[in-house]
Amino acid sequence: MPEEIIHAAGMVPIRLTGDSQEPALEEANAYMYINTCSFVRSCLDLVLRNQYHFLDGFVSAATCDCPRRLTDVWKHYDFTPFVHIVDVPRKMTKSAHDLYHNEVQGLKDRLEGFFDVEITDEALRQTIKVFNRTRELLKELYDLRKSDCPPITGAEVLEVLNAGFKMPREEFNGLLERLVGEASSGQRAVKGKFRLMINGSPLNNPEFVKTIEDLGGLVVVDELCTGVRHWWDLVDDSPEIDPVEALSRRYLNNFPCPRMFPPEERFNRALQLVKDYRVDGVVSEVVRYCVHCAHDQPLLRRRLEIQGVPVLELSIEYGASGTGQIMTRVQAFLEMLEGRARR
Amino acid sequence: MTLKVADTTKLGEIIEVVDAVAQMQRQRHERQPDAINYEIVVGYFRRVQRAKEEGKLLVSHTPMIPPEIFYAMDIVPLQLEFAATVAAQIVKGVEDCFSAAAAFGLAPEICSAQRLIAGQAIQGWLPRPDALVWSNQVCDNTAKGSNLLAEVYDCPRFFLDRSYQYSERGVQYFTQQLQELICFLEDLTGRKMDWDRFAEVMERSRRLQELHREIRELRKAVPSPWRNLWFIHMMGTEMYMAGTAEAIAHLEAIRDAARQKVEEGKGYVQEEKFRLLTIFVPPACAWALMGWMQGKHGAVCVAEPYFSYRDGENIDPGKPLESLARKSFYCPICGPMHGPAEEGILRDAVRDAIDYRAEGAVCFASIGCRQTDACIRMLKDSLQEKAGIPTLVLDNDTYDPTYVPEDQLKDKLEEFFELLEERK
Repeated sequence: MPEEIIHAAGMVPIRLTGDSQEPALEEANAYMYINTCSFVRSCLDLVLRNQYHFLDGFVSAATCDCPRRLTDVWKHYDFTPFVHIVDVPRKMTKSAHDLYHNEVQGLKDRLEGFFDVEITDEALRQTIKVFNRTRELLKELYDLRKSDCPPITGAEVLEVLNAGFKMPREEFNGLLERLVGEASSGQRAVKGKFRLMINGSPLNNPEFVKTIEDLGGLVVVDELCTGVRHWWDLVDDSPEIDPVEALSRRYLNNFPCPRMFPPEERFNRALQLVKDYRVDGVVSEVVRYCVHCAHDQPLLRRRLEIQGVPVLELSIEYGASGTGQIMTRVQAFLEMLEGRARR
Repeated sequence: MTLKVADTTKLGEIIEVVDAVAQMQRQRHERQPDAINYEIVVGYFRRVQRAKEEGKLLVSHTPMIPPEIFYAMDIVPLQLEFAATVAAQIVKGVEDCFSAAAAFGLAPEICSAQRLIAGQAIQGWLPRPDALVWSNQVCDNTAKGSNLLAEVYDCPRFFLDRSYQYSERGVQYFTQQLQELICFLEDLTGRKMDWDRFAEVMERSRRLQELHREIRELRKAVPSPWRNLWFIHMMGTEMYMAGTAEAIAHLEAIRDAARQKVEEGKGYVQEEKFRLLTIFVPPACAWALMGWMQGKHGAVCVAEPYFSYRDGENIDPGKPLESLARKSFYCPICGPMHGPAEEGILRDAVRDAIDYRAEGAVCFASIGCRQTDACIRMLKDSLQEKAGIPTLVLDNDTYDPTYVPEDQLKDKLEEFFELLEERK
């Protein structure tokens, strides 16, 4: 969902990421069945507990069954005056692009009509620059994590990403710029026994990552839709390309979500990250009923293992902090990595 | 992981058992529509069994891939979910399939249909197909499940992508997708699509659609001329036989049986006690429940909003691809399941409840079916507020009988019938 369209309309896009802890979901369970993934139920729970009362509208994308049905529930119970869903093809072909371009244009038209605003090409181009700046800064930050002793932990990076989903973008960029500057100064070096990648379902609880890092792992990169899959690729900002076209291309061709076809595109990019960030092991967290990830997981695991990269699979509820059994399993995984390193 | 050798003994078992059922039904006059249904099933699996020796291309596919294309190209289709459904009822060892899928790494939250399909593939229960075709119709599980199958079968594959919303652009996109599918199949068979033959197939598909609607009209009668199980049979015929003469014969038999009852002013059961709306599908391992509801309790399923052809659009055999693309947005299952709820299943369920004078709704909430279950609260509220009827939600697993035993389902249904009785 191209947030740039909302920003260029003079509005603040807030990404719904649910609660950053594992909530009881009592309110949400009354509206959506327990087999709706807990990420979506967590978002709904916050709505029902009036934590999103400041929203004027809700824009979602038909990425998978659960967000689609959340949109249905949102519309049916009239949570906000404005509700819109963007269709997203699963392929990256020419005709898929045409369809998606039409959808992005449709969102722009609908926002303009409903809120009586004009989204000019100039405003879109300016917004694209602002959002691309975020991406460049995040790339710089992630590049620093390639070093043996990165200046920042994985948990801290997740905090930064979380802030970016909810803050006015220009303000976030200012803070991010400062952070990257400080991180580049070489004054801090974080050590960990093993370099890890986290991948899988949406994740937004830094405590989960902190648990892993407290046990001796160092999360140097992720392959998450709240991480690299969100920000990795730039939007083409050259003046000769129509901004809606540029956004459509970027969002459809971006680092693929597990929903996209063919799956090899995602697998190859994940394997490339493992190589570039010199990853020793992968922690795959799959939120229960996150079907896309669940289907891909055995296939991706085999590919990683062929490359000699061990994988720890964790089936969790969204917002889990990493205590209890998760902690035990991470500990065992790190011990296994240690055993391998000694051999 | 690649399948080395397929052992199709289980397929042989399925054919044998269904054939015996068909023979039994043939001997009972009032069961002629059922006999035709089972004969169709036997014929379908026999074609699968013989495809290789007859030199025909065998294509395995997920639900809602239009079978019309395969029939027009003289390709033998194998609808994997249908094969899983039949196997779940007939063949011993289904639990081995679930175990095989789990051993491969498929999580238990993945719907049991997909785990069963994967397990069947890994265990080699079905012949290795020459190609796989799958789609995001009707859900994320169908969209993703075949990635694993493509590795197991190591064969050419085609993914058919359909947009979520019914728009002209969406139709255009899906038409293009169907065109690409035909090119893919032409490359495999080495033959071009015969468009005249395709038009004939589409004419039969149009006729089938017409019959669906004729039957829908007959079902409004009180008492209901309907045998509860017929909708499941009809759904199967639509999904894997659309475009064939057998499918027409099946629906004509159902139509005639229902019409006769209506003309005689009789119901399928002697005493009709409750008129029910059926939301989603009863567990494949407990279809007998439908007969039990009707026979023991006089509970008649009068309409199934997820499985009905809506009025309005028709197939145009002169525009086969566009017609198929449009059909996917309004046909049973795919239309209401893979589309927005407000203008789809919620509207249709309320309309059906009123038009068919339903007194209650029974919702089969299969734990693996995320997108239908996510609508339950909205459906309950809508049916109560707009049609004034209560809804019973029955938790179950469509393919795994161990999730909720049949007796427990019966207990809950009986409590619901008591409630409906009190409301009278």
